Amino acid sequence: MEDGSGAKAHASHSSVLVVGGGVSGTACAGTLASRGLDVRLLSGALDSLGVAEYSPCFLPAGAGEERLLLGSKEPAGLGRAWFENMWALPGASWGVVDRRRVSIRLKEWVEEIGVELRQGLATTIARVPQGWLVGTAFGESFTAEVAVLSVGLSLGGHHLIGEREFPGARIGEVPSEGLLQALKAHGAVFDTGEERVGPRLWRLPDSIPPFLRRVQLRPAGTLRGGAKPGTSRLAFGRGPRTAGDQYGAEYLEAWLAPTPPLAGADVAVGQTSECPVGLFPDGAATGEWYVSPGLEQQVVGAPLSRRGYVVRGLVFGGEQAQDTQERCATREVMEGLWATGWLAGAGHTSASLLSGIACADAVERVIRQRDGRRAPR
Amino acid sequence: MKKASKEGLQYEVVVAGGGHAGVEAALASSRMGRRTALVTLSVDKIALMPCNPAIGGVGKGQLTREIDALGGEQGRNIDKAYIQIKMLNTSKGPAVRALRAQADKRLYEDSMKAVLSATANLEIIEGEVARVDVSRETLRGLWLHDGRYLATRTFVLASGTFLRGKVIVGNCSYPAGRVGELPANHLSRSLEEAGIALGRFQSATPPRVDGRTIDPSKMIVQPGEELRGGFSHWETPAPRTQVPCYLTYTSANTHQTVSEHLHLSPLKSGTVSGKGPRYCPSIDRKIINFPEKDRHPVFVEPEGATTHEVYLQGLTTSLPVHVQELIISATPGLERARLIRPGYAVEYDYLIPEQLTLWLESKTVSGLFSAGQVNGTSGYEEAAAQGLIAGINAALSARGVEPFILGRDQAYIGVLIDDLVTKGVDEPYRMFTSRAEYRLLLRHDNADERLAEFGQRLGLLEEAQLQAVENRRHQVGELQAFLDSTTLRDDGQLNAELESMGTSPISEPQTAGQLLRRPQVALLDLMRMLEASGHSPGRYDEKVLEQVEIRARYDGYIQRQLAEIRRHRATEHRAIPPGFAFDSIEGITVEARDKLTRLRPATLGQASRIAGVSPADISVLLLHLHRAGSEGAGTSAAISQP
Repeated sequence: MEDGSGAKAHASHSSVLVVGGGVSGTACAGTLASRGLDVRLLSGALDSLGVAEYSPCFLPAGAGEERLLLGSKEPAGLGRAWFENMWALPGASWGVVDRRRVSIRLKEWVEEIGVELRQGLATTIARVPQGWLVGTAFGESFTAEVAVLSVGLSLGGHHLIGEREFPGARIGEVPSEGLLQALKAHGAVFDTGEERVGPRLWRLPDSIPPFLRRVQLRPAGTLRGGAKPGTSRLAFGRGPRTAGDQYGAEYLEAWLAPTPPLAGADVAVGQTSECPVGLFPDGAATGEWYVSPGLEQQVVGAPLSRRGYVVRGLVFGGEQAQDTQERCATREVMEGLWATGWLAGAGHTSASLLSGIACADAVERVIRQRDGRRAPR
Repeated sequence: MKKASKEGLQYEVVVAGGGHAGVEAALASSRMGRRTALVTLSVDKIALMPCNPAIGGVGKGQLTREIDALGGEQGRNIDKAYIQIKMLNTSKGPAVRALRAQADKRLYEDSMKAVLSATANLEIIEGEVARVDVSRETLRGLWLHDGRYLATRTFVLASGTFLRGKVIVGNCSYPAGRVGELPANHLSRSLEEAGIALGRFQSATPPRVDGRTIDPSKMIVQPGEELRGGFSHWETPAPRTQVPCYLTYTSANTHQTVSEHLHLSPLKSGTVSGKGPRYCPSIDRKIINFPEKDRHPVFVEPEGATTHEVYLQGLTTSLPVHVQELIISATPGLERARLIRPGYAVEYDYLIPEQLTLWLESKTVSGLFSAGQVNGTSGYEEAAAQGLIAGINAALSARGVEPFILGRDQAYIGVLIDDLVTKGVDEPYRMFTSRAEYRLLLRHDNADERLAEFGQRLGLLEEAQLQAVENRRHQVGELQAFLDSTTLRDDGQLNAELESMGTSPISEPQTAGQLLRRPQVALLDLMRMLEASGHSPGRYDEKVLEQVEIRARYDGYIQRQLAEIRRHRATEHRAIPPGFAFDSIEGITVEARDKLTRLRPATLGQASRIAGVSPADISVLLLHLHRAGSEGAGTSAAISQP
């Protein structure tokens, strides 16, 4: 085993280690890999890579950041994974994603683009001379120059159903206690983050509340053209369906609560930058429906597949925020340790996605600067 | 929701667990018209394949065929999701032929979930069953972890590896039913309080590596086959491009690496308190138990069409991860393989199966059924078979109908359940053809003939489906009758043909049926010869031809087995009345009396298979049954001619 063990001793090191394979983690890891960097993605749930945990609604992140979604900075594969599995209301600026399909496409893309995937539950983190070291529940160690934490709300995460509290950021998830303790030991300061998640119905109720209006969501496809500067609406265009698409559906139905019409808008439903309220299909292949938190009381009597809950976890807070890139919720928490996604304060799926991309931008700069400073090999 | 109240939701059947057993149970019960709820810890993880990305194989393939023949879902589902399929043992007799298919795991899950979504009478509830509400040995309902109460009289436990589950690698472990997933830690205690005994088992899974980093040039390619049918009897699978598997073998290097690190294995170091399966044993166990073998096969199996992950069948292990990496790189073809998921072991509570009846209901708590890995089995097929039977019987029980039981002479499913509840398990049970004494009758090719009628009677198959089976049976009979009544004489040509087939010429006229008994004479050739001599055998579908050929070829053996079954039938299915006082029987050994009293077998056949009960004890028991005046002809509505 002469060369073997020597090579293996270095095999657990990478330039970048992304911990957490959710929306922001996959975006960050994949974007870095697409630019030629050596990046490992450690996820406790490789089969749920990139799954938008809470609501299937996909909202624009505001006026300026939209450019990031329009083919300028994000890798094509990332954009396609999201937008080819999105259904949107023409004229409105939000969409609904098929979370399962997005997850499958993202994993495919992340493998293709050269990210080193690894299944593992991060249970500890420590600063070391090479950068950072992350340990797993099975006793593995990974080191990296730069570590990115994208673990969502699972630090100290628990969820509340009714009045009862349960461990984990959602039902069934193993909480990461050790990671939290290790971060605190390094001086990290936290705020509480919270998200309210609506329930899901196993199928549509026999009678839908009469004040909800039925609308048709069309496949969003890849974006064409781009939004006009200064507008707050994403321009969804029709794009190619993903290969192996089994839906055959021209549109998906949704039911929306009415909102006051916006000045100049010709569609009276939906809002531009706030969460739409209604019943949304939770994917095209499953019969489940997502119910906005505000509507829970109105859909009584229908079979609930998942109860609504409130998830609370810790997010980085306090004076330690050194660098928030634009408004894309990514920050360098300590030297060489970045946070992205929910953990960094992103409020919803598209913000998490943008955060992951912005984090990749920032981390790339850091790595290239260091490479530039290093003596040529 | 304020205080948890007893006025919960009303369901006729509740199934806990969304794995292979749970989904079959839930589908069967819903399709039989019962209002059914499937409770699962995660609605996103239904019908997962957490271990081998495959369905079928020797023994297991027969189970899946039978599940399909009864109207269960596994056969159809794998047909939608396979990326490779082949028939095993084609060169051997039909008794050991079985289909095996590699699955695209994600597609398998999605297909099954879509079926669940489209099934009437079925609801899925995300939650954890925490307590059973039992009074006077009868189930009244279930408490969920979040305080909800489900009022039901029938419950199917299909919790797999989740009861007090713990995942282990080396000396690291944490509570989980699978990696990253919280276990179900409440129900076990409630079950024990209700009088149900639990044991502890352990199962393990191998590592996954990046398929782009293996070296296929050092391996033997294992392609799929173009077959006309798949597992399902009712639908033809869509054509698709198949992907190959690869075969390599461990080397002396691999074995040395394992040996050097054995002290770190949870098995040796004593961490693992359960027993592991002997039949898909870890590589550490294989090396300990078979030191004389200088190599073990490792099959590299793809996990899906959208991923590069491959599964290393044969390298199951829970050794520390760095050791796993050494073992992998010491195996030819895997020198540069990059690890994506480490192998690991999972330890969990299982329900000791001798506490169940032949229809999988608890003998202690009426209305509580149990199916799958929680009964001490391993394998998706074994789980699904039990799930189907438990679901059927839960549905029957919910309306006070007599249970449905399959005998050992009717199906591998019968063998499986009888083995479990009569003999018990020392380690996770896996099906083999050698477990079935009537395997010549329980074949891949005749599952529908044996079982479709039951499926239709239960409401799981359409009349048209049964009709198709009946038509084929009729055609088989028709062709057989034709062959048996048509005589062939030598006209110079016939004998020449026979000799060219490698078989001896005939000296006197023989029926076509007699000629078909010869292994060298294929039915298609025989049909041609008949036509050439001016007869009109007619046109028949290849399934019919296959049946006729098999029957002719193995007629002698088949008849012997049928005779044996008939001889045993009287004793096998002789019912023992419930409440029969075993402890008052004299003239049997203490051990036998003890076992009989404890296990309360429902039939004489079941009694005869209990360890410690001898044929002499059975004779005495039979005498007592006569005296007691019982005249049982069978406990189940399902006993019929094979």
